[in-house]
Amino acid sequence: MKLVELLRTRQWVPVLGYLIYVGALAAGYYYNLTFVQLGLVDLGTRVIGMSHREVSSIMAVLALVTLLVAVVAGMVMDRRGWSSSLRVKLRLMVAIVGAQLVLTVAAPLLTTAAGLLGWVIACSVVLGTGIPVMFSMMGDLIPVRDRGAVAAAVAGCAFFAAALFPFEWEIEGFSRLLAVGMGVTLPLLALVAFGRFSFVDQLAGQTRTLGVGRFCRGTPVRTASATFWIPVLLMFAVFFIDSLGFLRIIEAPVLMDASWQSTDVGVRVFIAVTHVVGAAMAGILYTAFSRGWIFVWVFGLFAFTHLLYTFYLRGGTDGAPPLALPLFYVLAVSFYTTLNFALWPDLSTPETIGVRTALGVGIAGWLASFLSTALALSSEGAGTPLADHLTYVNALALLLFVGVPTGAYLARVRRLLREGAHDGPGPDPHAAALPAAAQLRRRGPVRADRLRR
Amino acid sequence: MTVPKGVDVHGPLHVLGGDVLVSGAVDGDVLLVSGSVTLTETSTVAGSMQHYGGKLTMVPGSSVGALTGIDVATVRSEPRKNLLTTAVMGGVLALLGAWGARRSPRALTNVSDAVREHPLIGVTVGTLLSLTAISVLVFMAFTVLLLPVALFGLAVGLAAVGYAAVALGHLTGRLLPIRRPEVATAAGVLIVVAILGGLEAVPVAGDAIALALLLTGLGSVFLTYLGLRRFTPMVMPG
Repeated sequence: MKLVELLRTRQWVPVLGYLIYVGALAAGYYYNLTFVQLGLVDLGTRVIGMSHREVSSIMAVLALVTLLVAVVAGMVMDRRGWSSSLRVKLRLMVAIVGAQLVLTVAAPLLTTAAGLLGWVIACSVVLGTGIPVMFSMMGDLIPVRDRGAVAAAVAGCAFFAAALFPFEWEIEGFSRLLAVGMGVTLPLLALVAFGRFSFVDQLAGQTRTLGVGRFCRGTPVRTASATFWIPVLLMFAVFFIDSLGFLRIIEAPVLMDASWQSTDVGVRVFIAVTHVVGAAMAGILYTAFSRGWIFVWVFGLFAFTHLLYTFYLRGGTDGAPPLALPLFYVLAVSFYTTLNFALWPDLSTPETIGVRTALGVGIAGWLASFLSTALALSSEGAGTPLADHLTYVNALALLLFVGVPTGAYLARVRRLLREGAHDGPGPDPHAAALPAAAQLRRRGPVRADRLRR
Repeated sequence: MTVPKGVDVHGPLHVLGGDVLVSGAVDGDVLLVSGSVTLTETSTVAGSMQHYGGKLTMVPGSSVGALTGIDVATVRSEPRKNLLTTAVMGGVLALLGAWGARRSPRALTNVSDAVREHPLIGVTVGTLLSLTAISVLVFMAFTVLLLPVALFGLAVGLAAVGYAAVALGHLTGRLLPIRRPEVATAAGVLIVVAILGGLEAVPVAGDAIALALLLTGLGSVFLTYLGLRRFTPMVMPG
């Protein structure tokens, strides 16, 4: 890891960059997971007295407006050159945290559905602006080599904290607590963003060397290309299927006991720790494997998780569900969340990172949530039984799992055809797989002393 | 810990290696993992009494909502028998290792290189594969129809673990001052089996280390396509 190298050579400023990024993103993601997602439900149902269906519709509005704002904000950032300026991003972050502070304090004061809708739209504007600003900071602060591990750290920290705290959700108490947290952070952030500090200049200077993502080195990637849009669509599919399935799964009280909503401390600790382990695994795999393999890992885990849930629901739900269910679900969620943090900056350059992170996170995360919420609500309204609903979700998950390797294989065939591999006899198709064995037959056994290094 | 007669305790109650005497009422589930739980004639457990190992004593008159769990029979430690089993297993693996080192040394070298150079990737892939494979096999077995496939899968999995142990032995053999590769590998395998056996004596940490070693080997077997290719992770700029 580059971080180890930096620590060994005592380069503290780049190390500080890691801390700023992980701290900001983990806190932002935690806020989104808890206050925005759980908070909306509590605020709408308990405080205002709306039905779950109405609250779900408002959440869908939140997702759609967030996507639109994120794309507009990303375009503005790229066009004005703000995407490649860390100082501008820090200043925008001050505005975002300030607005979030106001919204957090205002949340418990809401008493009407119209007020909640207004709060949600304001929240969407803040979140939408925050997506390109915060996700793109990876390009300024994190070397390409460490992006998998850093994304894992962000996902692990945010999920770990969210699974354990707050244990019993109530918007009033949590609002006060978050307001205090943000109130302390905001002046510090403002000082860093608006003050004249040499370490900020040094960090801002890193963008030139760190900014070009892993998948953009060598061949440039255009925004209007399959190289960018295929991952967007694949990630959209993952978020969509996941959300579609779990919006209905949490209806089953027996499954709720093995989820984030469980009242059992043991289950919550298990989920929190598994999130961290899952994120760490995802970080390692992200760094070690090519993009195709990473998607195969994610989809394989994901399809299998859905199969497990359906198998369990069809097989009878007597007693507490086995911990294998949340284990695989949490691993799958950690995997694709880690991927979501690292992938878009790695598909961008400093000039394009605003739009690409906005499109990636916006379409994969927010549009998928909007559409899946709408579909899950219509499925519920049509009276589709949970088992049937999950069968459809499973079918989609399996289709994705089979489709990705097949698509990758066919793309390779297409490339070979373009290169004219079919024109001549070409090399022995088995040669690539067998050189070691063939050589050994010729050379005979290798002596142990030759193998030593 | 004691729940006295006439006292209500809000569950769930988790017993991990401790001793609990219940004479009152537990309003919820009781989970026993190792340790002991004694339910006297005046006790009531409103939820389920789940026990996985440990000692559960239910005096007639005690009441539980449901009783689930697994009785783990305490196996009396027989050092001579354990030693013999380890020796036989080590001998078989050592012979396989010697045969492999003679027949296909490059394959073993590829796997052991992956273990040595990329242990973190190996253990990650090994863990993920094992978790998934075990769950898939269990679910297959539950269908009854796929039981033969599950048993075949189990055999393949055990063979892969054996291959992993041999590869770890090959890696150890490379460090030994023995010239003949097959002898070095066989000796290395015996050392690895002895270490894995010895680690069993260390509670928790020993098992964890042994498991991590085997998972690293297993992941490396997968990463190298059973040793047919050298594993090279993506080259990262910056």
